[in-house]
Amino acid sequence: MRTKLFNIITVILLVVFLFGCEINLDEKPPHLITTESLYSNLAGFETGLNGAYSRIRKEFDAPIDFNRNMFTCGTDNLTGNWTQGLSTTFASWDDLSNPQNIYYDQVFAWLYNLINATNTIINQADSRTDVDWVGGSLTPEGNKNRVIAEAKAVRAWAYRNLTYCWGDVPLNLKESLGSTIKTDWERTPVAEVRRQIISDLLFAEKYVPVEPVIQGRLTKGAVQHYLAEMYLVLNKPDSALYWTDKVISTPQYKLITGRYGVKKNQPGVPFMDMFCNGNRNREEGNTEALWVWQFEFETIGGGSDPSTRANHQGRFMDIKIGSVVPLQITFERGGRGKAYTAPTKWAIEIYEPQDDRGSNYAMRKWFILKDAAGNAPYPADKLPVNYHYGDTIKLNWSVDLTKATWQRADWPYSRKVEGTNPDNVTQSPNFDDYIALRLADTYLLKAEAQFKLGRPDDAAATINIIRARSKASPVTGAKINIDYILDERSRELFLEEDRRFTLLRTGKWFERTKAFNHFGGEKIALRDTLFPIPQSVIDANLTKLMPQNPGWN
Amino acid sequence: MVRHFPAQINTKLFQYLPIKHFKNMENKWLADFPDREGQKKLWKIMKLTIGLLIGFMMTVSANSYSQKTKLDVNLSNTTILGLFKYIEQNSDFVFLYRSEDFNTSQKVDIELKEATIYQILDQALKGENVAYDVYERQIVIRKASEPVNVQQVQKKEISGTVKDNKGLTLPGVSVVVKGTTIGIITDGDGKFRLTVPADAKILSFSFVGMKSQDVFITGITTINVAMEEETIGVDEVVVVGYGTQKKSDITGTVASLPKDRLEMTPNLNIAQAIQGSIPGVMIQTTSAGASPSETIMIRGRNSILASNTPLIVVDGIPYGGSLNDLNPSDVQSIEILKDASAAAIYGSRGSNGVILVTTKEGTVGKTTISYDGKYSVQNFSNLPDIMNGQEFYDFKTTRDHSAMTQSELDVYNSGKWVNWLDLGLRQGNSQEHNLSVSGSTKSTKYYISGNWIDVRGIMVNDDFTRLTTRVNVETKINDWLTIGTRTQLSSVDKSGAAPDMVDLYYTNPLATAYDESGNLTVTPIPDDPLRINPLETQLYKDKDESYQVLSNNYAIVDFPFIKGLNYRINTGTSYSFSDKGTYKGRDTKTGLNARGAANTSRDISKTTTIENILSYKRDFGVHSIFATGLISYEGYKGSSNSMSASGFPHDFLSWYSSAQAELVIPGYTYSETALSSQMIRLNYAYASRYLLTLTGRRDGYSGFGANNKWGYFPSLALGWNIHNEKFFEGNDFFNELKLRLSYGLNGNQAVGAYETISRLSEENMVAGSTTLPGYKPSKLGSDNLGWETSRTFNFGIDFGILKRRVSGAINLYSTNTTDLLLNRSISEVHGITTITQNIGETKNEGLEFSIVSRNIVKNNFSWTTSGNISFDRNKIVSLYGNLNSEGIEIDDINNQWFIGQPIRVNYDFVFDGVWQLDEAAEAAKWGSVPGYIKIKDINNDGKLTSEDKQIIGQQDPSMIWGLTNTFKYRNFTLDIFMHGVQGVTSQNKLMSDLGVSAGVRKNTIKKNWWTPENPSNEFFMNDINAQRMAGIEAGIYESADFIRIKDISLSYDVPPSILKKLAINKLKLYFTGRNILTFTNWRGVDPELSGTENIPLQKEYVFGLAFGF
Repeated sequence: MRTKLFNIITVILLVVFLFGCEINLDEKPPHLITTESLYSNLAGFETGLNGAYSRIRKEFDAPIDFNRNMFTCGTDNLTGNWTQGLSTTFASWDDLSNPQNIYYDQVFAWLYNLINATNTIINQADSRTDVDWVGGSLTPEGNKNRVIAEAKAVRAWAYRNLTYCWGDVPLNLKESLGSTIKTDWERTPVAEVRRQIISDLLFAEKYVPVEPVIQGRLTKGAVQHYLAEMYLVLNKPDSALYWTDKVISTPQYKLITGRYGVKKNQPGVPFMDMFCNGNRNREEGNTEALWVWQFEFETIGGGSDPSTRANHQGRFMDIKIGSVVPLQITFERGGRGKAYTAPTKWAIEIYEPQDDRGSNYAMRKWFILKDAAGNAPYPADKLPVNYHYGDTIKLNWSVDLTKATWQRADWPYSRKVEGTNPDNVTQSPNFDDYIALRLADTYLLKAEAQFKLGRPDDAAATINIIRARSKASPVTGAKINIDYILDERSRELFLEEDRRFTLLRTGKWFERTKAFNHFGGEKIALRDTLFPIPQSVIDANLTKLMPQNPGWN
Repeated sequence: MVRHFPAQINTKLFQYLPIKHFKNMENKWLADFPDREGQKKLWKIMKLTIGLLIGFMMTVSANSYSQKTKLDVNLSNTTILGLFKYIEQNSDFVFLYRSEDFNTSQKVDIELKEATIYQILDQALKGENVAYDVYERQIVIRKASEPVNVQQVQKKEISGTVKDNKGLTLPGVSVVVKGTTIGIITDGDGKFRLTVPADAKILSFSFVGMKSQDVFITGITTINVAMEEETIGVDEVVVVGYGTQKKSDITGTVASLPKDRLEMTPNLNIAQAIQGSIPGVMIQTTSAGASPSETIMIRGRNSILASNTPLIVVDGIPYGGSLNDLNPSDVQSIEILKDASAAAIYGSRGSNGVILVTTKEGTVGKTTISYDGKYSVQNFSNLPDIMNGQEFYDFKTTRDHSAMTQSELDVYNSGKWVNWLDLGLRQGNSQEHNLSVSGSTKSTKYYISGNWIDVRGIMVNDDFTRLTTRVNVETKINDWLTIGTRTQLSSVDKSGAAPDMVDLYYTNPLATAYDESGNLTVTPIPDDPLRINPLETQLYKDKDESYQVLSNNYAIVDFPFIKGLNYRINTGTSYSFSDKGTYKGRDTKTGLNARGAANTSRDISKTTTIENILSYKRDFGVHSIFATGLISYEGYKGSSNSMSASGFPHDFLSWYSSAQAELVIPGYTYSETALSSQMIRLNYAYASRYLLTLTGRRDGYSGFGANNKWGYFPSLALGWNIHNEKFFEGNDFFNELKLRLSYGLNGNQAVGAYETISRLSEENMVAGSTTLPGYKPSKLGSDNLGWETSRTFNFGIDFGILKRRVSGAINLYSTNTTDLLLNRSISEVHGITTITQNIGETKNEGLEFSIVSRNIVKNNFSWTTSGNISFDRNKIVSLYGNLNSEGIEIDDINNQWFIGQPIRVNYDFVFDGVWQLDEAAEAAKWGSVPGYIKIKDINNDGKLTSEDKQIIGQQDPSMIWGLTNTFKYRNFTLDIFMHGVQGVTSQNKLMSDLGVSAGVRKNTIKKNWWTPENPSNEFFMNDINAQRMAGIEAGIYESADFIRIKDISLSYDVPPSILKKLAINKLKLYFTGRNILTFTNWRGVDPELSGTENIPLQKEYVFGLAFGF
């Protein structure tokens, strides 16, 4: 008994000791993706591009929905109208716009995050020799070039935004690694960064197809458009003209001139059809679209919290007549707005009366009180004293938005972003797709190039194509100047174009914002033409002083 | 009159003394021989009290008490008994006598000043035919003439000597024939001689501080007894990790938790018991409620970012679970290893200290069954002053009159506004029942317990129930092999979703909580449809259950061929499983928006530990050797399945119909780590005077970077028991004096699995309605990432003075932690803003002091104070090593880490009150007006820039203390425990109006708003722009120091006479009040609560009952 037990214990001991000494400490995570494992074939690179395109949408996704405001708000046609986020900053400027402003920080970090994602794709595609590029209809080499092309186009788009916002920015073209952390970044002169943008776009232009590879991807037309825009900012209108013509002459890209799509048979105007959900994509008949960002409600990858609509749409549900708050939130009215941004009085009033773009279809100017049937399945509007169903409630923009008169529920707003979830019309996020770029913008870039080349009549002819679609009267070459072009851009592209960038490109931001924006615009200073480099970026640059933009120290 | 001196005490006298005198005597002996039980309890003292107490002790205690004590007596017409009583009350003397020996009611007149006891007694007993013997504090009075009467009932004489375990004779030991009143005490040489009935079977030996012993005397006339000290005291055996050691042999800093902190108070988990009881251990409540959570930090913050939580070891096995899953009633002892030497045996995980929890084992002898039951009632201890409907109306109309909506007005006019806090909070209660059986057979010891606790928290729907059972069995198979298990099964149910405290605070009171039919409204504020009803959590279907198996199975082999060699194998396993689910239906706003939303998850984890421990313990003459070797492996594997779903066709089936939901997002996480270790420890003692401990541990951990898998952790410690030195003999002041010195390396593992690997995270895209899988780079890896290293130097003194009436310990330490694991901020230009690296250094220096003092020991009354206090100062020595042009290291302002400053500081613009009416001109320079916030322009450059930010205090305390006073009167015990924290500054986030958001849609707390009539400097005016100056906001920071009467416990032990009738051994009733009173200047919810908007602490009143038979 005793010997037997001893033997058993000795065996256990030996086993345990041996086991104890042979522990493998290498980690083999079965559930984690590394660049090494992901970027080994074409499918892996596609997921990398999907990630990059998803990041692009963060321009809209809350809580950084304010990202978009940085590109559009605080301009001649759009003002901040709320007490939070960038809306407040751009309604106040002055001290609120400072290097500590977390929204500046947020946008800066977001864009460089996107750049690192694309740098990684480009670096991995360029340098690895073990990648299986086979797939789809293209040759392996074709696939590789197309992947690199898309990544470069996205990188160019990110740097484009950075240069407009901050001027000289560090030009980082390398994949970030744990072993290569830098504390001595330098700001690359903006001209050099823009040369890189053009170089990336020129490569991309060769390989990005006319129709997007997958719905939501960039098109060749979009790449060419951004090339044209870059040449304009570099004051090379001839090159700009070359690239806009390339886009316009592509047969697949056509302006929308007639009614189409899901609301074709309802009252409306051709101009607004493409802003209606179900009509926005090229596949849905929108031949004008060059780049459509994709969102989808209750779908994995559908976006987390896109809030553009709520951020701009007016607070009509707060309109009060006497003590009655009459208007119900309905799907037809586009859901519940927050009016974090609002058009300036000027932007509302620059339309001819017959211009579709200034009609109530495009710019909300009045409501009709509806009964239960009219609003179904939502409740009937509440009737103020002496009102009846069918009566009109007019919005009122006779007095401009100013510090003293802001946050008005009865202020007009653009209906381009209307849309909500019919089951929950009060929800903020709106998962409708978004037209990031369309052909009309290219036409207006072309007109700008033509004007800069001293061909105002040609410019007028180009602009008239756009105006004709919306029943605006034709313009003559004599009237064309840069301000007219900018006015026309506001009429056509209000809330769509990156207005701040357009104004900076034409050197008109300070002058026009001062002139037309009386809620914030009166406070801007010349230093505000460039945002301050975020303090955290300066602080993180431990071993080299990163100079701040002028006026911000 | 014959006067006897102590040496000549005649012990025979005592054999017929009535038992009540023995009782008295036992109590009185407490005065001379310190109550070790008391020492154990009380390790704390408040700074101020120390000096006072020591002074007091010095006056009442001195050697040769009987000769030095001087008394003033001024009594006339008093009986001799009255005199004795007077003397007993005014000194430590006690009288022993037989009342038939003399006339105790004889009247005497005595007037003496500064008289010795001899002078008094000589005078008082002048007329009586008695003699007296004085033995220190005992005065024995007997007939002077008569020899001791020895012929009455005794039929047998038994004699012997009583010694302690060191072989020293023990005077004063009570020797009683069991079941009778026949007894005696040992004389100055530890000898006794007692005449007992012939049929007497058992002699009981008892002595304070020693384990009582029963000895069979059938057929025996002489016995020698060695008394064992009770588990507390210098020779207490202490768990030190991978073994036990006598406390006197320990060189490191090991603190034991006073046992009644575990037993007397309503602790849900062991952290609550530890709070304030051990110097240098900071327990902070992060959230209260039915299942509170605490963070534990030992000796200050060493790590900037890595966890500062100590390693918890339960019965030898590292414990990774929740403290709430352990039953405190099962805990026998808790030891805390604080310095490098003590903790180095845990190598890469020792630097935050180690908490060793040992569960109870079966008692030797008779089986005991114990029941312990508690019932408590709880109310919140403090709430912020939230505005009611009227106040909110006033606030809102002042701030933005146009923002008032119709539905708000309707509620306001009806006067039926909502007090959300009233609706969301309730009176909580809890009950706990604990039943245990403990005992042993010839070769098997067993402890089996069951515990059930049911807490109904102070927030609606916040419930907690826990059922634990424990089986600890150890059986000795033969003379060399012992096997055993310590196994706990626990089941915890936290189902039910409590409202979010933030929602209760801030939801608009001008709302409707319930509709006409009494259902919760979905949209309580119709004009603000986004706002949820904060009470909607009650309507969630919520499940939160977990189960845990914790088992350590072991075998011990005492090698018969080498004396002192012992092998032990521990195989520990812990499995835990949790099952959670929440469904939000369309009767809630959240559920309505999502058209039904479900979240479910199931987690499973397994930890396996195998430890091979070889130890060798032997004395060679004056040399004692204790060597321990360890080879161990610990593996962890955990995974979690989760699912979130929304867009349900209906609410009937909740999460059971997830497959029908429109959007279903499954998730799966996984983690696996391995730790392989070897350790050697050598303890050497020379003549119990000079002690040496050497340890070394080597750890290999899978989570470390590829180039850095293995770490080495050596330590050295020296100890000197000065009281055992020859030259120290005869020192009557010190009973114990020990110096300890240690230095060593510890690690902080702190790197989770896969932290060193660069990776991408999911970033999915969509095309049309088709999901496209996507990834983006999310983490930068590092092959060199390893453990943080702490080098700790510790100097300690353990002392016992005045016959151990006062004992305590002082420790000084200094810890330098290098290779910190820092999530270092890197330039955003990298696209990823942080990376984890081993960089930087921190330093912690501190002093800990603990003391136990038995202040008053009287017949029926005693007062014991124990206290502890610790000071800690931590600072960042270095971060990334980047120097500025002047050669000074650059701070990391982004993370608010500053060289030379404590690790956690507040850094902000400085609130400087409010612009007053007479400062309008000055305010205008800042574009501000009177009533608006005033922020300090520190550098006076007329601008508010980042340079005007200041360090505003630190977030960790610089001093923590605990103080327990225990009063015993007859069978009543009153225990008052206080706890305090000093040196903390926190931002009071409630002191802001920003949360009301635009349109004043939310509530806020009442403040002393500035108005022209009330030119407050405390808070700016109620205006949307008032909180900014030049576009800058500044937080309001306050001291979160507090002194709290944490527990007051009153207990009553039913006396044995009654117990006998009830046929039970023990019956105790007690009442405890917790968090009764707090002194603080903090205006937030609770200074003890780290999350200022979490569930506040509760006041708790507990009634408890314990009995055993």
